[in-house]
Amino acid sequence: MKVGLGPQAMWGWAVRDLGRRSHFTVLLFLVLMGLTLLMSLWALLGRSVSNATMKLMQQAPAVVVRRVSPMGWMPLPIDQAMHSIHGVAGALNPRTRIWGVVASAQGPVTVVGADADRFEPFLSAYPLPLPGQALVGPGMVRSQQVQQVILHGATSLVLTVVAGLPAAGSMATHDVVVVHSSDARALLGLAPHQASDLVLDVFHPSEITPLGLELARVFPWPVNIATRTQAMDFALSQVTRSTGIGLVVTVPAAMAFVLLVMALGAASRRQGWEIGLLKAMGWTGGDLIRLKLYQALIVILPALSFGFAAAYGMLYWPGVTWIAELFFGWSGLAPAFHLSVNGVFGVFLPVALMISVPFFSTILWAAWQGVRCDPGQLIQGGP
Amino acid sequence: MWYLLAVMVPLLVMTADGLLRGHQADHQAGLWFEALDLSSVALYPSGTPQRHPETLWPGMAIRLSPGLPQPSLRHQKPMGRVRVCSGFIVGDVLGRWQP
Repeated sequence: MKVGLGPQAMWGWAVRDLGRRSHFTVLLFLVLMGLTLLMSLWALLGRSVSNATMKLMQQAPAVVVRRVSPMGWMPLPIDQAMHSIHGVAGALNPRTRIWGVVASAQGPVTVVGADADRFEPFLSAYPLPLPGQALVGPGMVRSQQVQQVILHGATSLVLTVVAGLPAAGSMATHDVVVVHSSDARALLGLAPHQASDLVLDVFHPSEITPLGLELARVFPWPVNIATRTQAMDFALSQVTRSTGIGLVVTVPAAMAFVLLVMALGAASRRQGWEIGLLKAMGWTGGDLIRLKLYQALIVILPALSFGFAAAYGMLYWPGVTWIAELFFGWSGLAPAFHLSVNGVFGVFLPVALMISVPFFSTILWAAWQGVRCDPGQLIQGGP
Repeated sequence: MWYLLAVMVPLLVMTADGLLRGHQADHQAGLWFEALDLSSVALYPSGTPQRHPETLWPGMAIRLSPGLPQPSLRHQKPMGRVRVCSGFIVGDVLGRWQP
């Protein structure tokens, strides 16, 4: 006699059967969710940080010209540099920058001399710093009561903090202090006619490399020319190297998954008597396979869903700091990352396949083995 | 029903968040990056060569140091003039050296 359970009854049976082994079911759910979380995080981390880095660096100057000597970097005479660059075909918008690294109570910070023209879009919300004033990045502001910042460079300056830069821009300005150009020069030891470097833009990215070679000839002193392409390559390699350590986590996770699959196979074989019993009661092979399939689905679908959601939240929640703390060497207040969501579901799909294919294979193979056996033999195997 | 809801809710929340907010998350950082004319993202702390690669010594280490990283060889393609200073070739040979 064939029993033939309907889908709803089969779902109910599967749930009750899982409920009999609730501890094992919950443990299996947690392990699958943890694996999904780890593998998704690893797959998304480097990709998301690299994407954000590339997106921001697209707006960096195309070419940076730094004057160097055998002793290292040297200040750049502004007039001489602008005169030399004048007439170089393809060098658009040449401008000098005043910036450098100085010491502060929070550690090294990047000081930037504000350029009124480029700063214009923010002037309504943020005042351009006057001499003695500073705009500080989110990493410099540990509390709203910060009113002064002391910077130590070629000279020491006590600057009044007029505003804090927004936390949402932390990936650009975390430990940046924006000051008046005269204060920046004083801190960096630059004379009024000197700048840190010269930067320029190009019409098309393909012009960057030939222009760099051309620029090497026009200056009267040795220069180091760094292009945006090189900087992006460097940044990408650094991000890959830093986040690649995440791969270490996936190795034990993969081993745990293999052990889990083996344990599932062994558990299914031990429960062969149940299949024998159901077969003796009239369940068909199709019913038994459906039962195992439903049980697997009941556990793995929420595990994948919650695992993905946990990875998504950990990575894309606005202002996450654990990435910088773990992978990018921050010991103090780490920058809050605001990462864009790009191609997330393209990553989730392979991860879901990597986890679900071996899982289903094991469950269904064990069920198939049971279906093929004689019910009497299975029952005699006993619990 | 409850089961399906529990499965679908996280996926729907992620999709909605991605559509509404996700692609603009780094917009503010981009604005400041441009306004301050920066060259590198604040992934690493200030003062480290990872943060300011343009400050790396533009030379090629000619001393053999097997097993140790040589950032100037791997990451720098400097262009400039040739100077020799205590074991380092400083600068480039106008594009003739392109590792």
